Amino acid sequence: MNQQQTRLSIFFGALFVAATALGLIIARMDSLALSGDIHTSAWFSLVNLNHNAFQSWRLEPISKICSGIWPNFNFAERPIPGILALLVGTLLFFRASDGPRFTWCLIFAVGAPIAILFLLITTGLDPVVIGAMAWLPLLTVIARKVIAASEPHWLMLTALLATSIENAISSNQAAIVSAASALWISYLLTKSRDSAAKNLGLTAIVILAPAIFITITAPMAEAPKYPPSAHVIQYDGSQGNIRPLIGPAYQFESIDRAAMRNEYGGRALTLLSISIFSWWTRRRHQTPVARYTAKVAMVMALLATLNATLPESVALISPLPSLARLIPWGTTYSITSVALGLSAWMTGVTLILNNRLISFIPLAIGPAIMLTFCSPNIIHPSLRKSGLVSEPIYRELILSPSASIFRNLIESGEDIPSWIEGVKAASKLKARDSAELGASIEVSPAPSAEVLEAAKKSETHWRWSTRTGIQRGDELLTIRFAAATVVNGVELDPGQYFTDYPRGLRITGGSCDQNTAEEIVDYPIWQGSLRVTYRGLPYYTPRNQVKVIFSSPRTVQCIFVKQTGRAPFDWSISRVRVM
Amino acid sequence: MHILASSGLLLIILGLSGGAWHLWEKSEQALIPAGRYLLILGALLIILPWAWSYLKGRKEITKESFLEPRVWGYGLLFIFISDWLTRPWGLFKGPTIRGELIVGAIACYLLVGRQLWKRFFAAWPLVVSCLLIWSFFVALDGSLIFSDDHAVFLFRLKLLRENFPSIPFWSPLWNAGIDARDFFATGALNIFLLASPLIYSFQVETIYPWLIAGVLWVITPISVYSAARLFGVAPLAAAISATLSLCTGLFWFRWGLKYGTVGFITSTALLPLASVVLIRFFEAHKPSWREIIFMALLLTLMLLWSPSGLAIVPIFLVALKHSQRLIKSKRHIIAACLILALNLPWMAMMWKVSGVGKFLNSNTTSSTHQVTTDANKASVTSASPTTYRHKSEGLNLKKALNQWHNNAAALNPLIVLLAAPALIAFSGFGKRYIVATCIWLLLLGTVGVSLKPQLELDRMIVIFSILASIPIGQYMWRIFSYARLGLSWRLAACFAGAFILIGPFAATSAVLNRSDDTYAILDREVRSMARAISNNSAGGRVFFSGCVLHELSGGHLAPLPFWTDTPMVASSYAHNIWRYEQPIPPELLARGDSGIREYLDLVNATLVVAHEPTWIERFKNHPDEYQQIWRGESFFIFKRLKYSPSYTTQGEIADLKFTSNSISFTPHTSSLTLKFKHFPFVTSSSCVVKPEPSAAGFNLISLSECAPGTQVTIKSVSPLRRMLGGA
Repeated sequence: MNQQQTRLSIFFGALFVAATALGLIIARMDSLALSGDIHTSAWFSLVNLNHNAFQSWRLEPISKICSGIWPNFNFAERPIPGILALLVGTLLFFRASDGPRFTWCLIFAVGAPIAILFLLITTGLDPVVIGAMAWLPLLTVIARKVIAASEPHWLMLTALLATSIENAISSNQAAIVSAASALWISYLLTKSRDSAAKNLGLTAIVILAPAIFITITAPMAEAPKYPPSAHVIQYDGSQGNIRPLIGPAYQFESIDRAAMRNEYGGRALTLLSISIFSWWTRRRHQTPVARYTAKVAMVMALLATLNATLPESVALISPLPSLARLIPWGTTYSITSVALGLSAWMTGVTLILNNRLISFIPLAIGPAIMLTFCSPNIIHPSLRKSGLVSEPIYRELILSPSASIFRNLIESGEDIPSWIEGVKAASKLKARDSAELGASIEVSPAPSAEVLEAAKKSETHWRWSTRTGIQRGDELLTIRFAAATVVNGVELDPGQYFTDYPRGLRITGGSCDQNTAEEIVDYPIWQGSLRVTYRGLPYYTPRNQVKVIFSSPRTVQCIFVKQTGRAPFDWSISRVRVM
Repeated sequence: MHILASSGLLLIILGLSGGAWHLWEKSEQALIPAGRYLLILGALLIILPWAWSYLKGRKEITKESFLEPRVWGYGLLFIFISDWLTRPWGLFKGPTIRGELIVGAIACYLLVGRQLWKRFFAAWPLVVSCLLIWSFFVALDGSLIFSDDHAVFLFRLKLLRENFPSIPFWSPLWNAGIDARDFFATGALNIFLLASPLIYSFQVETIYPWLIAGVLWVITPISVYSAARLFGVAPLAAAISATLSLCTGLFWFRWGLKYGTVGFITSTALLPLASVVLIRFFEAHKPSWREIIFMALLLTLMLLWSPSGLAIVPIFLVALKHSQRLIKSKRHIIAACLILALNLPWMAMMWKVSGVGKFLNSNTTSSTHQVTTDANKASVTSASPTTYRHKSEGLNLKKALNQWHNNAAALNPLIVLLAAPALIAFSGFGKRYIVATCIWLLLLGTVGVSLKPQLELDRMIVIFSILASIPIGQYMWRIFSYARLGLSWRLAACFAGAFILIGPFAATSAVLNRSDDTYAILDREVRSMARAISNNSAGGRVFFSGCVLHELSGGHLAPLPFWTDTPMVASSYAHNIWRYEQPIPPELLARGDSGIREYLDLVNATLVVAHEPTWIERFKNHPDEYQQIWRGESFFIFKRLKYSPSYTTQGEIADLKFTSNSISFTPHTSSLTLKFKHFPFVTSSSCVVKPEPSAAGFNLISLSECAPGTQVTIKSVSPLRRMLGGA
């Protein structure tokens, strides 16, 4: 490397650090502090808490030892040993790469920290991503040596096994992903494919065996107790249950895909652009290592982009969520975070390895784009709240699977303590059959007289149904009271026809003229009723429990319940009750 | 011509299997409104070219014309884009499964391109087997599979462990005494004999999940692989067959995991191997003694679930052409004698004690009484037998087609689509046998269901799917082999490969209880309930009020007496009733509290268990008579107050001891009436046994001429005496 290039590298490295610092200042402007002595910026909490925060990740051995030495330092939330391992691994990765133009000093000064900062800027201080990435570079370096060796030395194999074990423990539930990535990258980076074929099987066994062992024996993160069939992530209207095909899983979906798309869409696109740019600008001059790291970075960024930017129904069958469903534990953490983290690190490594002026431009600009335009300040302006520290319930909420509902409530401007009290009070409201209140029921499309007669008798086993086999979005049920009545909510129980709940609901009420009726609630996608556990954690009841509590009591003579969703099922009601 | 003929056959299969076809998912407008359009188009695609070539005097449509791999590969693409994958009860549960299939197709593309697929598919069945077993134990989470008949099989295995070979016998554990005879009809003996070393070495509860996992995911693929190899299929094709046998369809898991028909799944697992061994036996001029013994044992194990004999009828029919040779062959005659010697005794016993003839002819409906109770009154109503599931409807082709539609949606699409070309292409040994058996099984599983519903012949489709895995594996091997011919061939291989790569994951999803069909796992509440019963039964029985079928953790009550050391009474401890039934006779129930009390006294109930609101309310409304001692999510246990337990209505006994097949006690009087159900085959060690009618709806055991102070044992006569003596 000549002197001019070195100066340029240092200049752009400094520019990168400056851009990062500026972005971090912007990101920290709205610090969302957690209770007690833990203060986390909104940047990190938003990224992490939507996806991986409630996972109670075990401390890997080094962090455990450190915790013993410094008991007051929270290693679970500040994965310093993981970052240090990543730093050392990145250094060795550069050292083992083919670029003869680098000096050790320059790599140490600029390269490794930049690659790690790139990762942290992209995914935040996500314990899952740091855990999965911490030992991956070192594992790749050693695996590459083993694969390339004609006769792998036992010391080399021992080092590979030790790193592989540490990688599995650190990655925990993401062990398979981390180990498979390390194997794939080391295979790609091996120059001689003949020797690769020879030692690949042995390397695969040494890398994958601890990961498989951890996968089989990993305990479930301790989730709070929710009622059966409760859910904590809003349905987006896509059809079918998204359940993993293999391995353990929580009884509820825990990854907020909508939030993930919101947070990562811009970042994934930025990263994809940078990785393509860096590959394209140096495609003819790259070293073999840089070429493959660029390719891996591009593939990972592309997968994350597909998942985060395509329409949800298509994104769900894109490779990343599909792979997540095929990997044990794959749906219990955000695999998109891990893919994006890997891509960010690889992009950083590629840019450094390219070591050309043009490569450093995205390195300097990328973080600034991500930190400013993808900042929570812009994405979630309503979350600019301070003073949330005082309530211990917030910490529990944020670190629970209910974090997603919590965030939505804050965004909709709810005062959380009073909201919780309101929900608790509403759940105690007594529901009465509409017939008891002297109300009559009209339905459209009109059912047969026989069915209506049964409805009037208010028997428990009658059923009003559209009987068309589908929900079209224009079905209407009218509850007509004899006189103006104060109503707190309605319940439309589908009874034994549990798939026939309304997919969307719009309730209006007031006088019996539908045109002048006032809107009471509108749920374009019916989620189930919002409830709180006895510990105050919000959740949605199963969607077939159609109990709508109004935000305030309404005096109405008529209530119009319109089914606004579409589904290949009837809308059935076996009981109409009013609160 | 090949493409036209293959497309024609493909369309016929799709037309027969699908009904209306939608694009991507069910919508208001169907892409193809009815299957008949596809049928007609398919028929035209075959007939027109055939007619044309016939007129031209050429024979262009041959067997090979129907085997174009690309057509069948792209047929799977049609399945992918149609609504098939979103239909209810599908093994591949869409719409999201399409993502996994895309990943599978990409992986397959990479594999086939690198010629790695041979190594991969050779190891795949082993990996899949391990994944399925792991998934099963993840789902169980340290508990016990208890769904439906699993509970009963657990009970039967425990009984067999204690009593085999002295079966059938009288067991005092349930309903004041039962005829424990259904080991024959349910096929419990095959799993017992197969796994007896394990059953005698470990606790049945400990080993039971391993037995189920072993049958479903170890014996089945080994049986299919071995059968394929014996049919002359190449090792790699046999490995694909073995993989496919692990993910044939959702109903395999329904019968195996949800319904717990362990006898059936064991027989089905053994059937491919038993069939090929039998075929080789028929085809061989001089079979070796080792082959004969192996065949006889395997066939016996399979036949212990007796309907499996029906499944292999075509093998015997096809073998008729060798009848001259077989009759003259000494070894064949000896082998036949050996098989008869092994099977005739238990078959005769089953015929005698299980009323097989009556069961097979039970086509007529019969009226029944449905009894309902409420808190303050009891009423008896006559219910029309509309729920009688064994009502024959005669030959009903429409129903048969519907039956096939339902089954096809639950099967792996590879089975539905590729079975026909695979059977045509099958080049293994004994092709006629396997083709005839597959067609026969399909007919039984569709047309036969309405003819003999009591035999539950829909299971034959499940057997078909396992057996058809063999030719399909061979045909898939052919598809993969052709992939090198060009991109279109390679893509066809990828579409087929996607289903064999992702199929096992769809199966693990079902095993993990994440499919449409879920199975029940023993709840912790049952253990707590068992403890409560054990601590409070105090020398009496437990009475389950109302009708209990699957209310206890999704399974039957059967094993509870073993876990509580307490005999019990319930409407049914197993799945042998098909409508609501109360254990208390209607006459007593009609008398209200006094009638119920009389019945409880007659069965010596010290604890009553309730799960129906009316019964719970009834017991709660009488706190002076019933004291609640335990409650779970659905069951309540009440202790009877004001009742002194006694197992006699007349006379006195002491030191009563229960085993699973007898009771023993010391009488204090020479004449006794025991609160146990009398059967003609019950005998006493030193008293004269007679039936004594009771208000409980059954005869009690009356003993006379007993020697006071001398221990008396009541048990069943020996099985041989029972068979010969007419008891």
